[in-house]
Order: sequence, then C-alpha cells, then structure tokens
Amino acid sequence: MKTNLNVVHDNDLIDLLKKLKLFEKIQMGQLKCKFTATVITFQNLHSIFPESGDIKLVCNSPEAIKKLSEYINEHNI
Amino acid sequence: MDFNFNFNFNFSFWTVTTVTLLGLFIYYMKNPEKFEKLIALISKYLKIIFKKFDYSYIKFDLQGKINDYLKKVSKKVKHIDIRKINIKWIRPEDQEIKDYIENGELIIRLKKGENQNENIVIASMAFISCAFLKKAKSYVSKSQRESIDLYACYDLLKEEKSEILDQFVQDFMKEKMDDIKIAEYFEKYHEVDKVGLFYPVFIQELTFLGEKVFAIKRDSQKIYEEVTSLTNYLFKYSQRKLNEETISDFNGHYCKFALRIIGKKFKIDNLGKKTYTNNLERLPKDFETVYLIGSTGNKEFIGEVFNTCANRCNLLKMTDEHYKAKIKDRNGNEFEVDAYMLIARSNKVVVYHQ
Repeated sequence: MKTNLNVVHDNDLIDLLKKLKLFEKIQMGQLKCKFTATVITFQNLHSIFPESGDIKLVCNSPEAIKKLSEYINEHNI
Repeated sequence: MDFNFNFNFNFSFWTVTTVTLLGLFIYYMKNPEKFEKLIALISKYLKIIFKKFDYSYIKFDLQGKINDYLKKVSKKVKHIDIRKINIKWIRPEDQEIKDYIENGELIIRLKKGENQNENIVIASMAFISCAFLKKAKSYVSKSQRESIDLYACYDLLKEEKSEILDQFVQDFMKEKMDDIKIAEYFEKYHEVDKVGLFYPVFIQELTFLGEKVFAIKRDSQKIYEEVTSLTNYLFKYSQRKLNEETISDFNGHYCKFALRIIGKKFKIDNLGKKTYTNNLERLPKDFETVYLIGSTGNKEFIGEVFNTCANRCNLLKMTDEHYKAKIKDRNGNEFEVDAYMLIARSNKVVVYHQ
C-alpha cells in the first residue's frame, strides 16, 4: 500500500494561504497555533489541517510538533 | 587427456553499454528507493542552475530515505500497513477553501532544499505519526504508542548525517525522555533491537494483536498490561547470557508465542532434531506463533526441524531472515553474531482484518 504525505513547498506557501483565505489573517497576526497558542507567522508555520469546519494551524516549535504527532495518532487526521 | 580452451571475447562498446544499462535498469527496478536517491542526487546539482529541480530534490531525497527504512522494516514485519510513501506536492491552484475544509488532509510545510536537514526531521516525524505501524499502534496506550513512534523515528534517522539525528534528539527526543514511562520503554526497545527482535517479534506481535482485537470486545487495561509484559519478556530475553536457560513461552490473552533457540552444539550433534520437534509438538494447541532462532550456520537444521513438525503443529512458514545480533557471552560482554530466524504461524488463527 502506498500512502501520501501532503506537503507544500516554501515557494507555493503564500499562494496556498491566499487560496485558503489565511494570508491576510496571518499577516495581521490574527491566527494562533492550535497547540501552543503562539501567533502564527509566515516564518513559524509548520502545518495546516481542517477540523470542525475550520482550518487549524500549527507552529514549528518542538512542543507544537510533538503535540501534533500525538494528536494525529489519536484523531486520525 | 589434454583440453585446450580458447575463448575469444570481442565485445563492442555498444554491447558493454547495453549490458550495463540493462543491469542498472534491473537493479533500480528491484530497488526503487535507490532510484529515488539517484534522482535526488542528480536534482541536487541541477537545482543550482534550474530552481524547479528543488522540488524533485526535496521529494525524492525524503522518499528515498523513508522508503529505504520501510523496505528494511517490511522485510522483518509481515502484514505491515504501508510499503511505500509518496511525498505529494500540494498545488495551490487545485485547492478550494470549501473542499479543503470538508475533505482536506494535513499539509506539512517544507522549506527550500538548503534546509533539507530540517525537512528530513519534520517529514520523518509526520510519516511515523500519520502512517507507520497504524495497525500495531491502534490499541496500545499513549505512552506505549509514543515510545514506539520515538524509537522508530530514532531508528530511521540514526543512519543519516549526525546533525540530522542531533536536531531530532535536541528538539524532540530529549524532552520526551523526561517522561519516565517513555524513557523506560525506549531503553528496553533499544536492548531488544540489539538482539534483533524489536521488529520481527515485538512489532510483529503488536501487528497480530491489532488484527485480532479489531472486531472483538477489547479491554484497554488488559491490552496495556499485555504489551508491558511483552516488552519485559523480550527485554529479559535480550539480557540473556550465552547458553542461559531463561526462555519460557509467552502465553498472554492476545499474544501467544514461543521463542526457541536452536543452537547448542551438544543438543544438535547428539540428540538431533527430535529433541526440538518433540518440544514444539508439546506446545498448547492455542499457540499462534513460533520463532525459531539460531546462528546462520544452523539454518538448514532449523529448516529441517520446522519441516518435520509443521503439519502436526498446524504451522505455516511466514518468513525467515538473516540478521546481525548482539548477544552476551557468559560474562555479560556483548559480541556480534550472524543470526537466523524462521517465523511460523498457526493456520488456526482467526484474523479480522489484514
């Protein structure tokens, strides 16, 4: 069995964020990391995933990445 | 009688080229992960001139590394969930916010190729959490699952450049190891892995457990206790000194297996295979898996033991493998041996999903 790991390249990140209507919110510092509540910036964004009708963002701090790993295991995202 | 052979080889440049290319083609067909590494290497140099090659460098470098690890593990563990990973670039033009919210999946941001060490750590962790050993991790406790993820990620990255492993250790592993339970499991896995049983026995048994309890009523506490006992049992085995008789069978609620070391020269020379076949035939009827372990030199003998009792014990050969193991001599000093393991599974086991 083959499994996909979805990734976005740094070169495409801005376009993707614009498409998902996240660009301006990040620019204005309105979005926070789901796990650490750190303000998300273009530099510290690690990943995104949909949940309960919304898009969640995760920052690149080791703490957030560790919590994301646990969350993936528990919630099968 | 006198024989005179006179060979006259006259290969043209084109014949040599064709044979070489054919050989490479067959090699890369058999080892696609090596081909991915080759593409990554070529792309690494091409991206200096053509920026577009940064995508193929990042993708194939990650795929080559992860798929190499997956190949190693899938040789040792049967019924593994995935055999290949595909790094899929998300194209912004294909995304619509409504679709993404309804049906989207996790998207990981990867940096440019100059930061590939960071990409390797991030992608490896995401792969281990998202896709690796799903079946084996399905029903174990949080600390057991996290310790398995941590050990698998460490094992994947330990073959890479030291700065990659350093980054993983400093950023993620150190803090996780502050959790005493996780640290204890990790240390035990490490010892079990040294004697070569982490993947072919521990992960294999967890995979079987995942297959069995999928559709039946399960007791989380019982599973937790059983996985702990399994870890302790294999840890005890890993500490065994040469010729020490410490191995009993593992007769749990979900996992029932026997480890048999076939190696004592005295027994093989004087008692022959009968002593081993008699022993296997006395195993309780509900035993599910038998692991026959010995030195590579005893491979043939182990095969004979298995063939003799396979029918009577309802055993089917699942796989066999050669591996390097570090075992302890009578004084407790480690030394490396070429080991061989044959894994046989009862054909009476009921499995709900594979």
